[in-house]
Parts: sequence; structure tokens; C-alpha cells
Amino acid sequence: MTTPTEDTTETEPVLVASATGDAGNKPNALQGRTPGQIAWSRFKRNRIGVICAGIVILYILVAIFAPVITGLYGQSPYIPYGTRDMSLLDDSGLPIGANGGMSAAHWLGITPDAGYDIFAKLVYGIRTSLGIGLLITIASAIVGIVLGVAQGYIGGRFDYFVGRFTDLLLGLPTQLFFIAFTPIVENWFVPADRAMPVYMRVLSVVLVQAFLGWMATARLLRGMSLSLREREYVEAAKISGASSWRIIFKELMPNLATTILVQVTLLLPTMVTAEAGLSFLGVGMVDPTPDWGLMFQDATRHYQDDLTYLMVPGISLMIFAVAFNLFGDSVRDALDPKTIR
Amino acid sequence: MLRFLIRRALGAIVIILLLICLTYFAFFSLAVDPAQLACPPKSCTPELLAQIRSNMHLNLPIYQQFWNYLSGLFVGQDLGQLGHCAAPCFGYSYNSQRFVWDEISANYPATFVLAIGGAVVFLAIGVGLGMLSAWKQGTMLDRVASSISLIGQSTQIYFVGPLAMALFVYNLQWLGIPKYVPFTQDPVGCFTGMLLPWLVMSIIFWANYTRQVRSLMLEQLSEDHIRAARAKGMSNRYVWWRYALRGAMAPIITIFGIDLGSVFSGAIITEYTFSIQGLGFLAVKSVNNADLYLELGVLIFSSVAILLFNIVVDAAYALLDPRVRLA
Amino acid sequence: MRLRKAALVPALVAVSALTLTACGGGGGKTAGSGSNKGATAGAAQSFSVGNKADSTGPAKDVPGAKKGGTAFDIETTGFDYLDPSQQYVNQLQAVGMLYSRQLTNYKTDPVTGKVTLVGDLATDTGTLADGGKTWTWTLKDGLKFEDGTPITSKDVKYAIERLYQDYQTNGATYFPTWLSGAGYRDVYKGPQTGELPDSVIGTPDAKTIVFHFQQAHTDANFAAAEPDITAIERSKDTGPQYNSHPVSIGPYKIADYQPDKSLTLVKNDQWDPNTDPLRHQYVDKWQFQLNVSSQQMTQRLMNGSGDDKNAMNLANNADPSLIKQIQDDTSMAPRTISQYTPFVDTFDINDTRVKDVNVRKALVAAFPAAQIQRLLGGSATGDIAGNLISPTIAGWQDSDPLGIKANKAGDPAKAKKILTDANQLNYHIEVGYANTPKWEGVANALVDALNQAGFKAEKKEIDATSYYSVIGKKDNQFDMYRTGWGADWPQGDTVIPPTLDGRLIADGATNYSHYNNDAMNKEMDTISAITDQTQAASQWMSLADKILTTDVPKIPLEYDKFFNVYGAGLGGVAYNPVLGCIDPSSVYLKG
Repeated sequence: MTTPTEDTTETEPVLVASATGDAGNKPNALQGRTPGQIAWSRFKRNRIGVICAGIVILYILVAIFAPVITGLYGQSPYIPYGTRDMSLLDDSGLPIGANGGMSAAHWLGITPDAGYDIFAKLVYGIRTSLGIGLLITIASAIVGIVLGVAQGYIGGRFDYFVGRFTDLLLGLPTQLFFIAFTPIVENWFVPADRAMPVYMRVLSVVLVQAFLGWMATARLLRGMSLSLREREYVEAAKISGASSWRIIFKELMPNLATTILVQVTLLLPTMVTAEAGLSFLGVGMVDPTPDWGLMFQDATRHYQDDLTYLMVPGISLMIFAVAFNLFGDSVRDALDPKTIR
Repeated sequence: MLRFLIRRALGAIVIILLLICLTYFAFFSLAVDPAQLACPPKSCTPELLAQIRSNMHLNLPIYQQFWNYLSGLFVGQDLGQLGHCAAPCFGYSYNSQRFVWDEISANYPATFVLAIGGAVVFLAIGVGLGMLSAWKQGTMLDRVASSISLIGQSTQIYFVGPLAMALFVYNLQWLGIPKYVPFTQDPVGCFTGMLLPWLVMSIIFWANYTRQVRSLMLEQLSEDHIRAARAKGMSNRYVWWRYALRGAMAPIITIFGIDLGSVFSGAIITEYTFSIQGLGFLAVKSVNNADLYLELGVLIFSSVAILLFNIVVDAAYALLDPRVRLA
Repeated sequence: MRLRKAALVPALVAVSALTLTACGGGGGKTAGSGSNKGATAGAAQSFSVGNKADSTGPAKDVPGAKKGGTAFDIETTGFDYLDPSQQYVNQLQAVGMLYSRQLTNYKTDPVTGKVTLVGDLATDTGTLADGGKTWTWTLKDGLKFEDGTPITSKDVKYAIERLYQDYQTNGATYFPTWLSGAGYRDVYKGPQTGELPDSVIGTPDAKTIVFHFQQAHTDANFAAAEPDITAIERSKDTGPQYNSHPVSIGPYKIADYQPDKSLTLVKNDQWDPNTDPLRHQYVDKWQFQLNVSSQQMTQRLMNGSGDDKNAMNLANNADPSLIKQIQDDTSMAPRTISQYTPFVDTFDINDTRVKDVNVRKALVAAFPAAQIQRLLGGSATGDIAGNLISPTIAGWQDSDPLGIKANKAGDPAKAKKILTDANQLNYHIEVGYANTPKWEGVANALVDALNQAGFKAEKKEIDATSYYSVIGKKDNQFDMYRTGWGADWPQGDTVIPPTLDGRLIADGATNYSHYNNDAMNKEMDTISAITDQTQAASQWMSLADKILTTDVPKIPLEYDKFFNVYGAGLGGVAYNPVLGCIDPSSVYLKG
């Protein structure tokens, strides 16, 4: 559950031609290519990166089109097939047939006990976990960007206090904090004796995880904006009377954009796995919402008599994380040629 | 050095105080009545409720309660009929009918042994693999090492744990079912019982270190002073161990310091996976029973522990890199 | 207001689930198939009330028993209470057998499986007068606490007085309620405020204790076997803290106790075997390991490596994921116990809300008993029940008045027809369930089956720890919910009136279906007055079936079973069907 730290991504800031300043100073401008085009051509040459991008896009498409996919596939993640058709499971509730009951109707088999369709559950589980992971990533990235850039740009006492607050949060045992606080935050929204709507659960999980998810981004951006602040072109903008907002958005942000993009691609898989971890522990999503972590929770109960079931979420999550990590690396390489690999 | 440590310790104390304050108010300024939560649901009488309130001083205004709690941590406090709760007093768990500290002190050793052992394992494997990769840079070995690390980093403890159990414990029967035995009681049993959890836990941490050590070593080897040393005819091995590794060690320690929190989190998931009773077990129990004092106690205790470990790491860093001491 | 509790059920970790059925769920094959015990599962006939000779010590030696060694026990939870006054669930009663003693108790024969109610501290099972309003017990000679102090009738009286205190919230309440009424805590506040008068509990001499109940209770000899009817040494009573180190009066005493972790018992040299008709002191030491996950507990008992060879578990079923392996491995059959427990699981229909009997009949027709049985662990954990009486209870018959066993998987078409005829198609049903994965799965299956049978069913979660207090509310907002009722002793009067007497309907009362039929209430009174226990037993049985056929207040689901293995190195492991758990009092090491 490590969030990427500054050390894995800290590189010299790449100066991208800013709108007001030194446009056209770079030699490659002669060839008429924008830095974006250069990065794209560099990215295309990285075969692993392209494959991984394909896998990442596939997962995203699965998440977006989950209802369409299961519709075409003809099974629902909410129907206990095993109780509708008693012949699918044996007396002790285990799937009948090889590999956890894999068949033409149920491609990845069915779950023990109730006989839910594992493929349908997986498709919907990806949708839930990826969606929530994305929300957490966006929330923590925004907080991280705002606080980090402000720290670097404003400096002084503000920098000091936010820095200490960052230390404080970094010192927290994340997992314990999630376990302890998710029920409390849920309670802030909905009294204990009322039913909890799913969106409230999502909101609580996003809040709690984003609260402890922004520090790495903030630290990274603080360091970068601190050094950018001293650059001549920023000085020049200041002297020429540009407002702070203008300097932040027109001078700093374009040069931070690549870092932010890399940071977000690296944050997303960790947030997705963190969300799955929480659900696995029982403080995230709950049944019947299909969820990656819940599949683990259910499957680990049966790992001794139905290992196939555990392999489905295990391997799919692993492929997802590998692909996303490699994808993140190649994005960084493409945007920043100076990285040592 | 001493001044550095004192400054660092003072900073930590401020952070700890802030942390206690933050968590305390998040827990107790809710619209939830802590006494009601402590009262057994089946048999809660108004008398019992009143008794709990007076024992835990819940009738006082919240800032006074907080002061009691805070001072109790250092000097203990009297909890009415429950008697004197000696320092460090984290309050009383009505659910388990014990002082919170008794619960924590019975459970933290397992988590510490798990976290420290796991850290030793992943540092050894991570640094080892990293050095190997740097040594055999660009070879098949290098690529295999980094692929293993990448897959390890991308997997989950709760996936690898059951797989490892199924394979090593039930199928091959190389290892017994993992369990925690205190080191002082049975050092060998402690080691064999925890070996599998350590290994499984370490998997997700290797990768970062392998990658960092590899690039740091390569960077170090291209530095002028090392080239000079080589030019003077020092043996390759001597240069590696004496100069390059030492130079690479300082940043590794920094990364380790940042990772401490995650190591702790990893230990908790590992605890669940192998059903070892440590702080994670307590945390689950307290959340399940809505046992606020226990929940708060575990949270504060673990945070303080992590902060203290961080200072130790900083001190080690300062020892290795004299520049820090001047800063 | 309670905090919402997260359903934290980490994969390989067992977090204890609190329900009335402390021992529900788990299981084996068909009745008795895996067991080497002579008694077939649920042989209520093998139960009897013993006489004075049966109550006299020492206990008959188990053939082949050896002395010495350490016995081990692996529990999946901690012990909630060691203080006998706070013990009620069977796991605690079972561990209490080793260090605590009651006025009466159950003697289980590890060879024949016969269970006899005998005098334990008392010389016999008690003498009743005034038709059951006055009960007298005489204590045996030579009874001592672990520090050598002799036990007198005052110590037994003190143990009862203790139950009136506010913190005493978990023990059985039969005696205090019978002595001082339902509001017994208002009448008397506990021993600090003086003794209960002789007109309530008399101690004419050091050996005799006389109880004066407010009404006649012919089954007080059974109630006297509850763990809290014991002897407590006043000078050692430290109130709530007594729990961590209760004074032993049995063959073992507490040497070390780490709550939620471990318990070590060693021999109590003050225990005189000549006073005890049912306990032995074969092993030197008992070592309990607490809070082991269910999977690990089962796996360790199955493997039996090292100390685990001499290990057992008191009251849990084998982990559902390992039951098949145990059943398939014939070498484990001699050390497998598969027996009925006193628990019957039912789905109660809230009669206050579902008033139309035809709708209730349609619910029965649609009821997916076989599906639910499988979700609960298959035939190992329980057999589909046809009626409301457990096979462990006197007078039980294998009847099927509602045709549930005949039509296990439910008949949606038939249910739909009943609903259509009654003009109740799309009747709305709220199914309440405890929010654990197991009961959630059951609720899903039930809702799915009902919806296919023409109902409009929905499930609603209830916090697992307060489940029974939520469904115990008279005006609860659910139409159907599952309950498990375990009789405290093997007589029909501990099942029918508590769960079906309409005059008992109140908040927190155990008539969860709110069934009230004057004719049936009257019949209950008639049967209660019958003194011949055999005749009463068969009458309770037929009344239960009559209620089911006439009014369908609840749907029988399962007779719960106990299914687990124990280490091959242990002998003398007896199963007590009255409690539904293992009785450790005759255990010895074979090796």
C-alpha cells in the first residue's frame, strides 16, 4: 500500500516552453514539433509501454462498459445461480466441475456457496474499484497540487506549517487509520440505525483515503515549485508585474504538468489496490456491490478447497498493477528524457 | 549530533501532541455518546450508564476530558470504581474489561516482530537484488531481477499469503502453520513461525529498493572519487563495498524512513492474512465492538511508535552522512 | 445510539460472532456417521435423570484411561467470561466443567454416550415440595475451595445473591427470576446490601440449602445445572475483576490466564474425587490457546502434528471449507464427532405484519430449505428440520407437518398459486438479516426464491451484535427473520412456551413471531400441569406440530449439528448433546 514517494519520481524539472516566456528557444522548434509530439514519438518507440497502454485502456473500457459486457455475456453479477440451480454446486457448496465450475455459460466458474458468476462479478468489480480509485486519485491529486504549489510559491510560515502537517500525516499508520476512521466518517453522514446508501459509503472511503493520499504529491510539487520560483523567467514575470495567479498558472503550472501527469498515473494503481485492500478488510464496500477487494475476501475463505476462485481476482489485479506501473514508467520516460533507467 | 537529535525529538513531541488532539476530538466530539457505546447492549441499565459516565469522567466538559486523557498518558489517572490506571493510561475497555494499555502491551510484540523481521528481510533481498543487478548490469540476470521485483510490487499480501500457505504449508508441508511465539520464550520457534509471514510481507517492498539500489550504485560508480580510487589500483571489490555501497546507503535509509508507515500497514494486513494476534487484531476487535478507547489507544500507540522509529532512522542517517548534522 | 459497525471479517481470521446460538453452524455427514460414539445423533432416549447412587463419587473410571500429560485445546474465540456467574453459552459451560461445579450437572459417559442429570455439589438432583415451589439440596461432605476452605451452603447462597448485582449481566436468570420475580434487581441489590432473607433462600445448616420460588417450577433440578448455580468464596470475590481468576472448586485451577490469548489450568489438590460423580483428573495440565482462526483450528486438529495431537476444541464446528476433506478421509472417522445440538434454526414470520395465513402458507411453499442448508454448510452443519423440536429433546419425532422435508427446494409454482388464489400476488416481504457474510448469503437466496414465487421481497441488514434486540422489538419493521432457539434443558417446556406463548409478547421477549392463539395458549397451560414427564414430552411434540399446521407462525429450517475432529492422542472425549458441545471432564492422553 505504498504511495509513490518523491524519490521514485523526483527528476530535474523539464522546462516546457511557456506561453509568455521563452517559446521557440529550443533547438527542436526548428523541426516544427511541439514537446508533446516529441514525447509521443518517443512513447511509440517503447514497445512495452505501448502494450501496457493497451492493457490499461482495456481495463478502463471494461470498467466503463461493464453493463454492456455482462449484457452480451448473458449473466448478472447479482444472481445466485447456485441456489436457482441446485446441480451447480455440491452438498458442501463447492462448484461442481473442473476449475471452479468453468463452463460455456460461466467462463470463469462460479463462486462457492451461492454460485455467483465470477466473470460477471469481476467485470463489475473492476468497475467499482477502478471508479473509486479514480475518485480518490483525483481528490488527492487536487489537494496535493494546491497545497504543494502554494507551499513552494508562498513559502515562509505557510510552508512550514503545512510541511509539519504533512509530516504528521505521513507518520500515521495508514491502514489502522483507515480501519478506525472509515466507520466514524460513515457515522458522520448517516446515523447508525439507518441504512447506508452506496454513494455514502463511496464518499466516506474517498474522503478517508484522500485525506492520507495527497502528501507525496504535495511534497514533490513543493520541491519543484520552490526551485522554479528562483528561475529567471519567473523573476522576470514578477518584475514585469504579473499577479501571483498568473505566475502560478501561466509560468509554474506548464512546467509542473508532466510531473503531475506522471504522479497521477502512478497514484491510480496504488489507490485502486488500497481501495481493494479496505474492502478486503471489511471497511470499504459491502455486498452485494461487486468489488475487487470483496472478491478477495470471499475467495480467501475458500482458498483451501477452491483455489481457482482466488486466482481470478489475484491475477487480474496483478496484471492491472504491472501494466499500470510500466505504463507510468514509460509515460515518464517519454516526457522526461533525462530519467536514468 | 546531539543537537540534531534533540531538535528532532522536540519536533516529534509537538507532532505527537497534535496527533493525540486531532484523533481524540475526531473520536469524542461526535454526536455519539461514548458511555452508551461502552454499555453492554443486552443489559444496559441507567445506573450502569451513570456509573460508566462517572468512572470515565464523561460528565466533564470535553476539553477537560481531553486534559484528563492527555495527562493520564504520562502520569496515569483515577477511574472511579475501576481503580487507578497507571501511566501510560489509555483509558478502560469496557468490552474486554481491562485497561487499554494491558491490551496493547499484550499485543504489540507480535506486530513489532512481524514489522521488524519483515523489514530486515525486504532490505536484505531488495539491496541484494539491487546490487546484483548493478553488478551484472544489462545481463539476463539484471532483467530477471527487475521483473521479479516488478511483479512482487504489483501483487497483494492477501493474494500471495493464501497461495504461499496452500503451497508451503499444506501441499509441500515444509513449514508449520505460521504462529507468533515470543522471541524470549522460544527463539527458534519465533523464527520458524514467522518466516512465511516475513517473506510474504517483504514481497511488496522489494521492488522499490532493488530499483533504487541499482541506480544509486551505478551513479556512485561513475563518480569521480570512485574512478580515482580505481585508477589508484584499488580492487574492484574494495571499491564496491567501501565506497559505492556506503554512498548508496544514505538515500536508502531515507526511503526506509518514509516507508516505515507502509511497513506497519503491511504488517497489519499480514497479521490478518496469517491470523497472528497483534495490533491489527486489536484494531479490528475494537472497531467491531465500537470500543472507542481501545481504538484510540491502538491508533495513538502505533503512531507514536512509528514516529520514534523515524527518529532512530534519522539518527542512523546522520551517522552515515555527516552533512546532515550541520544542516 | 450505536456506532455502525464495520463487518470486519478478514479472510483468514475468525472474529467471533455473537449470537444466541453460541454453537450454531459447522458440521458433519448424516447423523452420527462419522462418530465412534455409541449414541446415535439426537437420541433423546439416552438422557435420564439420575438418582442418589448416580450422584455419588468417585466417577467410574474410563476403560483404558491413563494419568498424566498435558491436554491442549484450540478455541476460535476468547473466553468471554471465566466467572461462573457470568457463564451461559455452551463453550463457557464446557470450560467451566474443569474448574467450577454446580448444584446439579450432566454426567456424560464417553463410552455409551449416555447423559444423566446428577447431583454435583449436592448429594442428589434435589427434593421438591409444594408441587415445585420449594426445592432443597444437601451438599456433599469434603467439598473445598482451591485454598482449602470448606464449602458451605452459605457459599452457594452467596453465589445466587451475587447474581442480583448490576454488573452480572450474562448468566442464566432462572433462579433470581423464580425467587424474586422478573424485576429481581429492584427487589435486592446484591450481597453488599445484606443477605436475602431465609424466606427466599434458607440455609438451616452448613450442608442444606432451601429455595422458596414464587411459583412452582418442577424443572428446577435442570436449572440448578446452569453454570451460575455454584459456590463462590465471598472473601475472594473482587466483583467484576473476579472474572480474571475465579476460585476453583473442580479438579483443575487457573494457573495463568491471558485474556484472548491463553489459559493454563493445573491440578487442584483440594478437589476430592470421592465427592465428584462425573469428573476425572487424568491429565496434569490443560493448555488452551484462544483466538485461533477457524481454518487454522480445523487444520491443526486434522494434521495433529506435535502438541496438536493431544488437542481438541470445545464447541465450534470444523471450518466449512474443510468439512469435505474430513468427511472424505476415513482415517479421521474415529476421531470425528457428528451429533445434534439442542439448537433448531427457524425463519420466523412476523405475525403482526403478515396477518393473512395464506401468505404465510405461500412463504412455506416457496421456502428454499435445501439451498439455505447448503449455504449454512451442507448436511454436515445441520439436517433440514421438519418441525420445531430438536432431536436432542425428549419426545422428538421426525415429523414434517408443513411438507418442508418433502419439498426441500421450494415450489415457486405452488406458492404463486396460493398467492394468486388469495389475491395477494406481489405481496411485499422485508427479510431482516444479521450483517455477516453467512446470513447475508442466506438472505440473498431467500429473497431470490421468494421473488421467483410471486412475492416482492427485499432484504434489510441488521447489526449482527444487536440482532436479537432489534428483531425482539414488538413493532420491528421486518416480515421474516431467522432465529435459533436452543433449549436450556431437554424438555419440551423450554421450547414451546418461550417461543410461541402469545401472552409473552413484549419488547425483548423470545416469541419472535408474535404468535398469539388463545386455544393454543390454553393447551400449553394444560400440558405444563402434567407431572408425568414422558407424557408431557409427547404432548409438547404434537402441540408444536398442530401450531405449525394451523397457523404457520414460523418455518423450521435446520436441526443444528456439531461436527469436528479432535487429536488422535486424546481419549475419553465425550459429547454432551444437552449443551451441544464436548464435555472435557473425562479426557485423558492415550500415549
